[in-house]
Amino acid sequence: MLANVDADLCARVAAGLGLPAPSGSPAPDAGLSPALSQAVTEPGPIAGRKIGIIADAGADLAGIGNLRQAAAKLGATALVIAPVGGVLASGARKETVDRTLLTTRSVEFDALVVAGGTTPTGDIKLTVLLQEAFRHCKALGAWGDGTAILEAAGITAGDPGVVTAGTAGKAFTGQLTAAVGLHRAWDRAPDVMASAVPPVLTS
Amino acid sequence: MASSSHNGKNSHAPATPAGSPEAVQEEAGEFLTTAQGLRLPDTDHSLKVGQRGPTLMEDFHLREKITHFDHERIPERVVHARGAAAHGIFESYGTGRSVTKAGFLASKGLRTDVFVRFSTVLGSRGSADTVRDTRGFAVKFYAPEGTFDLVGNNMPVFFIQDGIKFPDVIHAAKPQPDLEIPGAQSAHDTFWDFASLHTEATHHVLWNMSDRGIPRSYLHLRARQVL
Repeated sequence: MLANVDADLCARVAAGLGLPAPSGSPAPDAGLSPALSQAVTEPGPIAGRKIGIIADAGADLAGIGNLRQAAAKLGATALVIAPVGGVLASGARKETVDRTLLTTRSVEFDALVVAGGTTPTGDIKLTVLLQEAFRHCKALGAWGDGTAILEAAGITAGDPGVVTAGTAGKAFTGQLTAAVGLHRAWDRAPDVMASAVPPVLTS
Repeated sequence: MASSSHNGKNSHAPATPAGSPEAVQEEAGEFLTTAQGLRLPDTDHSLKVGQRGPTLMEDFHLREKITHFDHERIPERVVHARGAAAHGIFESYGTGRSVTKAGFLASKGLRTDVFVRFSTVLGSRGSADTVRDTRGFAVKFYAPEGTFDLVGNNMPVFFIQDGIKFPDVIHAAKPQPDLEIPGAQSAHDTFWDFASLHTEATHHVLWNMSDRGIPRSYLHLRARQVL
């Protein structure tokens, strides 16, 4: 059946099943229809998307406020994820914790961002959260020393769909919301789907 | 039976029913009734021949109560049983005049009330929305000329090109009849059997198994009339 659709797909499925790939006669390439394709090249609207911000008591609350505002302006929602519930406060700034690491999972979010100032704890739940989002090709980001937490989870700043910056300024929030607008960073797919990225275990 | 609307408590009844001892009243001033409104002294005991005798079929309330119980579940519809819907407004760009007589598409800015239902196809009551499946997207336009129904899916192709095969594709895609698993999705033996032998389904199978089968939210559903 697949031999008459696409020879490459057929060969991959046959290899997975341990069978010889049959030959067929796929139709000539019908060309790409942008109206039907899931491979978007331009960022779309992000209304209704959810961005999770990983933070703790020491996190850069001004940066979180910037990102929350930038997301809200485009109709997206930013939710703060912290090790424990309650309110993060620093001076006059306050951020309510929307999810704890125990009460969320990556499926809730279209993107995850590690706030600057967040202390690396090596919590396996955080590693799983970030790794799942990474493997599902979702946009990821970090600013300031939040980058170290991404790296501790095996995610490098240069990876496709991973946005990093010194501060959560306009440039950072713009790049991040654009990455969310692409839905997924499919350039990452060959690596993560080939299981080339091992799960990271922290002690 | 106390909670069913046509066989429930009658709070307008007189305080003391004739011939009914105080002890069988549920609460002062409230009594159970049959479906026809006849006041019941008791719904917990069927008529019997003597103290230890067999049940009498002349106990119409017993038969009515049991028949009602046997029939009170309405079977779930076969496909698109689960869904959620919202009222909204469709606003016309006004560019449809050259191709349709439909008034609600003819004038720019014309607003028409709509009711939109989003659904999954295969899942039964209690199944998950997150399972890979084609999604239904049905729009009811309350247009001035009358109601216009536009029934769509989020995929522009379908498994079959002839409606007579619909029972066959759905039987294949529904859960295994002996196990009732997997629920709500089609990646199981009976469906692969159908898809591998019925190659005209191939295009839709590829759509169904793609990420179109797991839309991010109702907001991200792209509806299409099935052609």
